Amino acid sequence: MGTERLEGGTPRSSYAQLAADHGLVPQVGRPPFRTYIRDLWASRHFIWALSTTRTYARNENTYLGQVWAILTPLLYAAVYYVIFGQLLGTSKDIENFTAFLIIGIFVFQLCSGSLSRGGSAIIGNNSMIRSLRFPRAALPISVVVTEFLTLLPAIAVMLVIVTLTGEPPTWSWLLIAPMFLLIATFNVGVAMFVARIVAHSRDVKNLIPFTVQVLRYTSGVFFSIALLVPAEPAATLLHYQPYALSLELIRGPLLEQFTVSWLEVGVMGGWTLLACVGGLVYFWRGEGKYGID
Amino acid sequence: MGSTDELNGTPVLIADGVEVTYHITGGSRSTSDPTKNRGLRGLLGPSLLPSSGRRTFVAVRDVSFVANHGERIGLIGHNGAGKSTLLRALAGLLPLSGGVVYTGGTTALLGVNAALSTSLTGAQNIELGCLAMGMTRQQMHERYDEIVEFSGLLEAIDLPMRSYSSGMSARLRFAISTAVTPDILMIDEALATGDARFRAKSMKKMEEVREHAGTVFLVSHNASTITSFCNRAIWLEHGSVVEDGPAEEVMERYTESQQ
Repeated sequence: MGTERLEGGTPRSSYAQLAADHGLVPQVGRPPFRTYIRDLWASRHFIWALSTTRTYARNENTYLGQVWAILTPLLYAAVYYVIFGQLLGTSKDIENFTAFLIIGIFVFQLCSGSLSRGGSAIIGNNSMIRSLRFPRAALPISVVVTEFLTLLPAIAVMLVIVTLTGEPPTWSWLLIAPMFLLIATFNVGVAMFVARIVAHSRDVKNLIPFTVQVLRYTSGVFFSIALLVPAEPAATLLHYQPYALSLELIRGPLLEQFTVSWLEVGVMGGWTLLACVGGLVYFWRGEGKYGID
Repeated sequence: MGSTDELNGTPVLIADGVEVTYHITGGSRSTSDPTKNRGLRGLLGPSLLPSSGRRTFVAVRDVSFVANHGERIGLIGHNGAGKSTLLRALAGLLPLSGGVVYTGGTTALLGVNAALSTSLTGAQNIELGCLAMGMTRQQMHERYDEIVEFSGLLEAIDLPMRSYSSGMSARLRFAISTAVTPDILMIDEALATGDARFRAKSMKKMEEVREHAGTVFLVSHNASTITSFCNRAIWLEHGSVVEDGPAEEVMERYTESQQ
């Protein structure tokens, strides 16, 4: 955006001189990274308002409304229970397959939602981008917050089901709060990545449903990677990929049969850091170019 | 920016060689020339090959001018002349592919297409719009009643925006965009919608901006709107400036060219 005019060496045009004389500054499409972070922090109220109103608006057009946020994953759970648990026998050796499956589906819902809606975070909000000025990273961040808020009632239902299927509530259940925070933060990074990629080449959007399916089948939503994939290095690779770890991080504190190790939390922390810093820098580098497509 | 009269006549916004290029994905390029449709490219369709998957379209080219405090500038031209695009670029909402825009104050853009969220209620849109413009929650609550009042929506404020008539949503947008008196107010055809009473209110608001030594940009292809409100007009054609000068003179020649 013409920033080269400001750097020393190049002669200033008469307009630039006039602007400088009257204290006018060039509109920059992309502010410095620090400024961007500050702007983003300043727009936190906007992000929150955007997320809450969208959560509210999402199921508003249907009779059952918010109930669908719980009903849809439960229907998935029922189908997976029959097909994978009963017919293909992935429930073998898992003591409480119902709770295992419910947690898997509900947590994966957060990840898949962030990925697919994150892809439309920019291209789905072009009219807003073209009429209001705010740091565009607010959009992918708000996508994940919305996904999380939509999931909240489902998490409550999840905890009830887990209790009903014979898992006694313990103090370790409290651990799922920081775990969810970690998972959500990871997904913020991912959403920023896909938001920019899709904004620049829309074809990628068609790959997202495919990616979600692949992740669903390789993250142990309806089977245990540890129990079903004994061969190395596949087992370790699958185990430590962030989406599989996300499910482990919630199953560990809730299910008696499973535990979560510090190593797993550490690796997930690493993934989160990588996704967030990488995602934010990558997204910021495209700032000032959103809304042109 | 100050609000004194002595500011009048000093620059508030400078466009220096502004150029805006749109990237367009989709649409068929080869239909106009069937001979290019042969072979692999013809079989696989145009978007498979990167050279034809995306096209660019220069909507605004090399536009330069200086806008001063207190000016009311009308942008005139045919549909597709680049008026709205230029306005968005000046407001910093569209990236430039060339040139620089220098500004010294806050800008607010008001447009017919400036859709907020149609599935949300008017009240929620006020909240979102205010926060997006950088207001704090407290400032937003302080202004809320005033905005609702100005929009004249009354009980309809709690209905989803998709149930509004075009006049109602235009009023709401105008009320939100002008909640803070901006230094530069940009209006995109907004006066075409809304009833006479609201038009009078809008005029008053624009006058208020101008009195604060601010600048108003107004896009319209309605000659009488421009002549009645603006003191300067910029005539655009195919993205370039044809003429820039006192509104009456420019409008006279623009109207002549229409006949």
